[in-house]
Amino acid sequence: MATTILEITDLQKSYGHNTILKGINLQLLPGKITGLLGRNGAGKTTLMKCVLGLTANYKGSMTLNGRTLNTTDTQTKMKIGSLVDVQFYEDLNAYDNLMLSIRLIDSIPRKERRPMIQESLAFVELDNAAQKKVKNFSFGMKQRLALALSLITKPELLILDEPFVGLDPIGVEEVKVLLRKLCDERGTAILFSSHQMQEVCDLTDDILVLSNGVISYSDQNTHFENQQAHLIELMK
Amino acid sequence: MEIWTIYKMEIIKTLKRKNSLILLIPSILVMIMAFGISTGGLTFTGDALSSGGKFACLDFITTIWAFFSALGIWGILLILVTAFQFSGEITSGQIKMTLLRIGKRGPIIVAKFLALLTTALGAFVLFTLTAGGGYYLFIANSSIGNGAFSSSMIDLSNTVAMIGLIFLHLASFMAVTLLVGLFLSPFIAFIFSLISLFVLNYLINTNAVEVLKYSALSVSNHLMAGNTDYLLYALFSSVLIIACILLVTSLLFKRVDIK
Repeated sequence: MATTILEITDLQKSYGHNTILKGINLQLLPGKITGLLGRNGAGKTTLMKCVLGLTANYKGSMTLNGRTLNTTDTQTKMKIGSLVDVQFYEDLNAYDNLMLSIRLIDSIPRKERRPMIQESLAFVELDNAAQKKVKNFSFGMKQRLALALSLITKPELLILDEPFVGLDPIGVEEVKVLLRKLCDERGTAILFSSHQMQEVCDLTDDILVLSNGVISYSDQNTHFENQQAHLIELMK
Repeated sequence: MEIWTIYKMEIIKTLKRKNSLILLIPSILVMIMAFGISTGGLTFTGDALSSGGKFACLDFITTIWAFFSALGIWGILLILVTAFQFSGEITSGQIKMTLLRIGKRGPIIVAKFLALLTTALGAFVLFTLTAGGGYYLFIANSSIGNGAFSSSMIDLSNTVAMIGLIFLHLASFMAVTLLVGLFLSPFIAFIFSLISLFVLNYLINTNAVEVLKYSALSVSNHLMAGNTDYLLYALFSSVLIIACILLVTSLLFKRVDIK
């Protein structure tokens, strides 16, 4: 049986008197892609931000590789890649943005930074736009750059919030191939949220539905008939 | 170690971002002013700081510093840069670039503050050198310049101490901007800090509150007259206030949810 990479138990989060997450339980396994579905405001992004340490004051427990997830530990952060509405420094070019981020990781030697960035940019096919300022990027290009940023440390766990938004159909297919490759070759566990049912049904191994602050549905993706309609019903 | 890593990143970011260029405004202004004074377009009087109406380089630098300090130009610019470098990043979500890599939030506050101080120090040095350069280019040979560097009115050490205290005074308001920037948008944080700065400056300059005689700005003002009373008090109290504000900011930052 595969070891769980991320386990969340009874996660609760409120903003003021408004409770967004009312007790989330989930497990992510290595080499598996988990799709997270839910209506706008269901708490998908809040859940992801809790895992990433961007949101504070939550209740519940989270473990990463069997150990309590310490979101204030820089080494732990290296193991988690994320794409959660990243805002780049628009005055800077794509290469400099990635360099700023990678400079924060002491464990990456200086001489390895450039090849890592180039590899990451090539992976998302932005190597030709490396010297272009981000303010001149289309939304889709920014999404690709955010993906490059999330992959740069070769993380064990990828948290992706709406990774397909802004991508053209070819881009969507390419990212799907890329994510599948990451899972198969590196054993990366991926949690991604999306409103695009087709992508969720095509790509995922497991599907979670977040509704009214709890995981209302959690199962393996068996690609059954009328699956999309069924999932939409569950989200209501 | 994390502080040093973040500090380097912040310095690079500051150097590469165009909005940091606003800190060059005083240097450009002082050069234009020196030119204006030399051509008679601007009238420059400062009997208290000149010997017989003739300014030495040090007189000119000291007077220009006092003028810019009284107008609050440095305060406006430094608070503006601080507000956009911190509150702006929180509001826009750019701070995530750092938070997704660095675990503890305290070092981020300290490193950002140190990077802002370094930037301010660089701008101060450039301004002082430009004022000196402007003097020798335009003033030294004019009717109000005597061409000398040293002044019979003020010591170099007093001028340096005066600038250092102005720096400390403004640094405390940069720290205040970081603190309020946790909860307010960049523009509101800027306005709040600026009003606080002007209110405090007014209270100091009018001697309305006794305890403010120990403040960095008050001691800086008195240094121009050669009075060095309360210098150490001003130094320690300013550093202590800044440290306390940064500590509170760090503690509160841990509880802030990032958009």
